[in-house]
Formats: sequence, C-alpha cells, structure tokens
Amino acid sequence: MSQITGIQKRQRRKWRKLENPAKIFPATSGRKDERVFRLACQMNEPVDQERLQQALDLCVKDYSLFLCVMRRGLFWNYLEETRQRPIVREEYKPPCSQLYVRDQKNLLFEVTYYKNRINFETYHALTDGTGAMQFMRTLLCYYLMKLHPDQVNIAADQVQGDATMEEMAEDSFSKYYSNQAAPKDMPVSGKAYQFHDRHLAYGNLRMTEGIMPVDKLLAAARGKGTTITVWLTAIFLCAIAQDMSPKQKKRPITLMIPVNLRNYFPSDSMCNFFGWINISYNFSTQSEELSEVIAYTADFFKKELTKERIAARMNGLVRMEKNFFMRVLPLPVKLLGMQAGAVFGTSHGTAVLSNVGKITMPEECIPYIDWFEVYTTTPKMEICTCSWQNKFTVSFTSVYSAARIERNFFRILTAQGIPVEIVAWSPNEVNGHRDDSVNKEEGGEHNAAAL
Amino acid sequence: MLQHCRRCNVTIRNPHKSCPLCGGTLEGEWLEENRMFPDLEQSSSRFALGFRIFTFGCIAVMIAAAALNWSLGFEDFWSRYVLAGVVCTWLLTAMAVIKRRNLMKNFIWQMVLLWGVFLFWDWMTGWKGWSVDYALPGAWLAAFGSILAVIFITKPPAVHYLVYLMLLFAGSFVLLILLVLGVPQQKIPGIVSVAAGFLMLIGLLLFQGRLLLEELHKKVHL
Repeated sequence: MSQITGIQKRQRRKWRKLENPAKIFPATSGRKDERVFRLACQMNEPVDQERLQQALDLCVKDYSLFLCVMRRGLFWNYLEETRQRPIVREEYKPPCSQLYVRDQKNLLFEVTYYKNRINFETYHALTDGTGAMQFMRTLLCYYLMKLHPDQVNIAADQVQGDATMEEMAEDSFSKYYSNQAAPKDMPVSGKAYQFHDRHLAYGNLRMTEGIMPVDKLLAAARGKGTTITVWLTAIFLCAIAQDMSPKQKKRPITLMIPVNLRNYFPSDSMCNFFGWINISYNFSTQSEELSEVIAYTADFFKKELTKERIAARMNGLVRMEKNFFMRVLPLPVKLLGMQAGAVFGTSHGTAVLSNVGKITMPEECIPYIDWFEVYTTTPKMEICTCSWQNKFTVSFTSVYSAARIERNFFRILTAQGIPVEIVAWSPNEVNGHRDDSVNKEEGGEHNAAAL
Repeated sequence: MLQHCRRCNVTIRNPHKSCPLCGGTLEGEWLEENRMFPDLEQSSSRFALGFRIFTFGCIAVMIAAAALNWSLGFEDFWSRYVLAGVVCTWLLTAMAVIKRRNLMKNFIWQMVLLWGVFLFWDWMTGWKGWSVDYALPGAWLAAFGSILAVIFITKPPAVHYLVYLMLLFAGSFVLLILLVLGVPQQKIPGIVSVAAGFLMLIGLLLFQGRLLLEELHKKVHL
C-alpha cells in the first residue's frame, strides 16, 4: 500500500456517522417539510455585515464540526468535513428555506441578517435546538465583541461548554442506549385530530410570533397554580379545540413535545440529542375547562418527564437502528421505509410544541439584544417558544392559510390580561401588504368566519 | 406608533394592511420603517416546469403513434418501437435531470441505464449481440472518458471522485465476467474496457490507496 503523501493529507476529510434522528431527516426532508429551523436574534441596533462575518469566521473555528456536507453511503448517509466557509448575506429567501440539496455538497447552515435581526438557520440533521443555540450565543458574543470592543470585553468560552471537539461530535444516543424493556404502561397514541384548513401553496410557510412580558406570563401561570410551559400547552390545546365540531372532537388532539435529553443524560454533544413525548387530550370525553386541561397537562408532564420513561422511548428508537437486519438494508430501501414510517406517523400527531427555554448571555451583551425567536419548518403547525430577559416569544409556523389557531391562542392570552405584540410574515404578502387575490381564494372563508 | 387590532387586542410590530390574526381592520398607519422582512419570494424551479412539458410531449408522441398504428390496423405493431424509444429517451432524460447537480454520479447512472436500454433494444430487434459486443463497452468507455474529463477540468478533491472510479471499476468487472463467459463475439472493445478499468484500479491503489480505503470505509459503514 502506498505511503500517504502531503497532497493526500490535504485531501483527507474527517467524517462522522449520523446520530439516530439525524438519520431520518435526509429521508423525510423535502418541499413539504425542509427540516430546517431558524434561531434569530433581534438586536437593538442595525446589524453590521462585515463584523458579523468576522464573528462567524471565529465561531466556525470553535465549532468546526458544523463545517460539513451530507454524503451518501451504501447503508447510511454521513457528514463529511468540507473546506467551504459560510458567507453572511442579507436575508434573501423565505425563512426556513431548503438548506440540504441532494447531490449538492453545500454547507448545512446559513447566517443572514435584515435590519436589526441576525438569523441562524440550520438543517436539523446537523444539530438540534440546544446545539444551534450554543452556536448562536457564541456568534453573538464574537459579534458584540467586534462591534463594541470597549463595552463587551469577555471570553467567548463563557457561553461555550467545557467540551473537546470529540465530545461535541459525540453520538449520545449510542452512549446512553440500553436494551432494557420499556415499562408496560407507556401511553400508545392512536390517530389524532388533523387540521382541515386550506393549505398555502405547496412548500410555503406562514409565521406568526407573539412577544409577551415574562413577568406577566409568570404571574398569570402562578395564579393558575402552574408553570408557563404547562399553561401554554393547555392554552394551545384549547385554542385548537375552539373551532372543532362535536364530530371532530371525537379524535384526540395530540401534541408532540420535543424533550432535550441532555437534561436527563449529561452530554456536551452539539449533535442531535432530543426525544419527545406525545400528549393527547380528548375534548369529547374530557373536560373543556381550561383549568381541567391545565391539571391534566401538569399531571402528564410530571408522569412522563422522568429519566426512566424518557430512556424507554429513546431506547425504543435506537433499538430499531441497531437491529442488524435494519442496518444491512441498502440506503435507498431504508429511505423508503423511513418515508413510509413518517407518512404513517403523521396521522398520530396534530401539532408540535417545542420549548427552547430561557436564553442567557454574559451581562455585557444584555443591553444590545432585544429578543430571541425560534422558527421551524413543519408539515402542519408548530409552536416554538423561548424567553430572553423579560420577553417571551411564542412563534407559530403553519402551512395553513388561515390564522385561526393563532388568533384563538393569542386571544386567550390577551383575555387574561397579557399584552401581546405580533410579528407576522406570510408568503402572500407583497411589500408588507397581504396579497388580496390569494387571501380571497385561500384564507377568505376563515377570515370571514372570524369577523 | 405601532398598529393595533382592537378585536384581538394585540399590537402589530411589522406593518400590515389587515390583522394577521383575524383579518380585521387595524388602527394606526402602515409605516415603511417598521418593516421587519425584505420582499422574499420562493424561487420556482424552471427544471420542474421544463421537465413536465417534456413529459407531456413524450406522452403525446406515444399516444399519437399508438393511435396512428390502430387506425392503420394492428397487423404490423410498428408503434412498439416508437413507444419503447420514447420511454428510453424519457428515462435517460429523467435521470439526467434528477442527478444534474452531480455530473460524475450522473454519468454512472447514465451508463447503467444505457446498458439496460441497449440490451433491451438488442433483444427487441432479434438479438444479434451488438449490445454486448460494442454498446456495453462503448457506454463504459464513454462514462470513463467523461468522468476523467470532469476530474481534470474541475479538479475536485479526491474524496469527491474516488467512489465513482470504484463504480467504474465494478462496471469493467461485469464486462470481464461477460468476456470470461464468452458472451461477446467481438471481444476487442470489451478487452479494452476491462484493461482500462484494471489499470485505473492499480493506479488508484498505488497513488491514492490510503484515501481509497478510507473512502470505502465511509461508504460501507454500518
């Protein structure tokens, strides 16, 4: 065998296997759901492109595992190191647009800006919300250090984990996998209620965000004897139920709630490490009172969010991946199987509610940041929530042309005395105006019903 | 001054003509400086429209040929050649479009499809053996030449092309098996292809051996 030469050393590329959920994303991403999510930060002053580029160049040195492209193998896809570097651009395409293009070796994340807002968008196979948030916080630290060197004089490792590159690229699913049998009383979700609204044009998404003061939300949630997360989950269930007919109510509403597994299994991995629970509520057999929905949700969370039950779900997923017969199937057959599974699974969920949680930054950065927001692509409807200082954002993405669920949701909150500021974007809007021709055709009937 | 929807009791941060929640009238002015998004449009794929037009044209030709054949009487089923020709053209074009982003992968797929097309036409026209004698080695040599040209012109990193050279070798191995089994009557084109394939493999092992093994490990990891 030949000795490795200097040229060959330069041509070598590090690579890593995809972790459990990341294996599924390339199979199921497409125009219907690109599996892209956006973390955005609204600054208090216009974004400086040049300094943002300098900050990004520093940031990718710290997180070089993000500099990779998706490649196909005989049995699995994998991520391979690339020499491409990200370029900061002014926002130029709709939020959460396609990032992974099959047969095209391009980076799987992007940083853009518009006016005061910095957007970090990433393909979900690259990282999850926690990993992306760590990248975003580091980027913001570097950016503010470049922009205000006298005021922001900090070390970027204040927002970085104490992890080596190997630990950051670790597949924590494999690390924590055990072949233990699942408890017998795990909830089995059946077919769930599906929205019957008109869709936007294929591949389009509509975004609606509500910004609310954390202190008022907290006071209101405590007034109900619960937490913000439980309260908002219950409100989301009620907002969906409001417009359901008695016949539709016979099917339960099922919300898929992603869970950060790092809270249960210590990990510094920047790769995907999340699971989920499905909460189902049947408004035909259970009470329609918000207080009862809150009580049910609180009980459900208390029961399901334990290490043992979270582990049981995780092991179930990994067990399938570790199965020898599953592993030796050629990739195209696996992809077909995963697509079929995704189609089957879609009828078991109504919507998704994802809570990124409280975002923190070093003290020196606080005066320059107004709020954070998180959006993700969805084949139906999804809520992402996060909080920064006293601003709590609830961001809806939806493929439906009418905003009746969003309207119901925010009206329940304003009725409780919570002030809500709305930021909305829809592909039907031309120069900030809603395109009336599209509105009449696609959303007219629901808007009329709301009047 | 931000806009406000009295019915939803919410403030609208970025300007709208009507409430984004209920579609109702908003209080307050539409102010350009409050815009939070540029004009954004989903890019539409020209390939998709062009390919649909092409598919429609193919189906039209097939229907026209079958209809003409039917109206003239089915004693001589000549339209089968038109139907088969159009289907083959559509398959080759579809593959070229689907794999347009990766030229080397495209050439490999075109070679595999062409092998199928040639074998099918040879069989349909009364098996004279021209496919295995000339067409299969010819398609292999064309793919080999095209991939080498792409490598020399675009100079990609070795990890981007090693797998396609391995697949080309696998193709020449198939031709070797045909030669050993004595299928081709005219052996020279096949021998040339097999010799080129083995020479390429030896070159790869000598000059890119370590990278080749690494690449194989990536491609077949379980």
